[in-house]
Amino acid sequence: MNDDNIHEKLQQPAQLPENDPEVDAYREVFDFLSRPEDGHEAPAGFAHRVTGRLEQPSNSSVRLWIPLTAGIFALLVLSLLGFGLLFGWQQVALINTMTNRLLIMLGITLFLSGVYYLLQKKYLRNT
Amino acid sequence: MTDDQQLVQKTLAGDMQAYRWLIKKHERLVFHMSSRMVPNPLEREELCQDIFLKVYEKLDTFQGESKLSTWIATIAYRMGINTLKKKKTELVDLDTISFKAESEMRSDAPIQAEDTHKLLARSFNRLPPVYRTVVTLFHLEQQSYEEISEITGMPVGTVKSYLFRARNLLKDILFSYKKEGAI
Repeated sequence: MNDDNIHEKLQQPAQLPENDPEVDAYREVFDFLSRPEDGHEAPAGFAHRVTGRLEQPSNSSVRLWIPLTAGIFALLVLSLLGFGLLFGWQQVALINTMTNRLLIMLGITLFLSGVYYLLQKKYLRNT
Repeated sequence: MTDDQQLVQKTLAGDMQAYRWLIKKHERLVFHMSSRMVPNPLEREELCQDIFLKVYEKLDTFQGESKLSTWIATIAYRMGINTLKKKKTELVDLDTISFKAESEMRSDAPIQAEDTHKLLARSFNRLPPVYRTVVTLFHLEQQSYEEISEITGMPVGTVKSYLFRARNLLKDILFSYKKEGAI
């Protein structure tokens, strides 16, 4: 029995030999393949969950402004305080070259960018 | 203008209810395809959600050259394959898996008590995911060889070959069990 045309032949049972175990096996295989398995259908409310995820980013980005702005401000203050505690105010006063000031500013910027990136990843991962 | 085109245009205009209708119309196809690649129900639903998010994102690129179902199935197939690749799942090696499946089943004592459907289901689930998907698209979703070729990116000849090998293997397993009187 050639599989290439078995599908067509199975549609017209009269053309097939009766009591042929191989044909019967093919018929059962085709019957099995054309029936969906239980539990493979979409669950209830699936479409709403998808559109819910689509509508989520705009809402979350609005909600995100408040904690994000507050968080950045708090981190800015904390990083300045931490810097002061680590190096002492007198030493800070000694760091008066333009290069050192720029390096400090760069460090703070990188730190804040990192924090912002993490917050963005957490809150805006569905965008 | 077809229903699908109307739904696409309404969705692109921002009508979420239209998109929900579009999802409901095609969720069966996507779930059937995904179930052949991701057996875990939770992972499967997450994959299906991601597929429809991607469909929404790319909907403005749908030109209407093929059926919407074929276009969605193409996205579903690619995303399913990517998921399997991340898990390092064997996609197409039928020889190794079929041999393993048959030998494993023969060593399972309870197989004699199982009916034909369970035997076929177990054998089918041990086929490589690409074979299962091609068979599902053809038999369950009534897609043509050409449509399956478009969805999977495989030549029509390869699609036919996959169908033949998968069906033949299932038939051989069932035939041999019947011959031995195990069922």
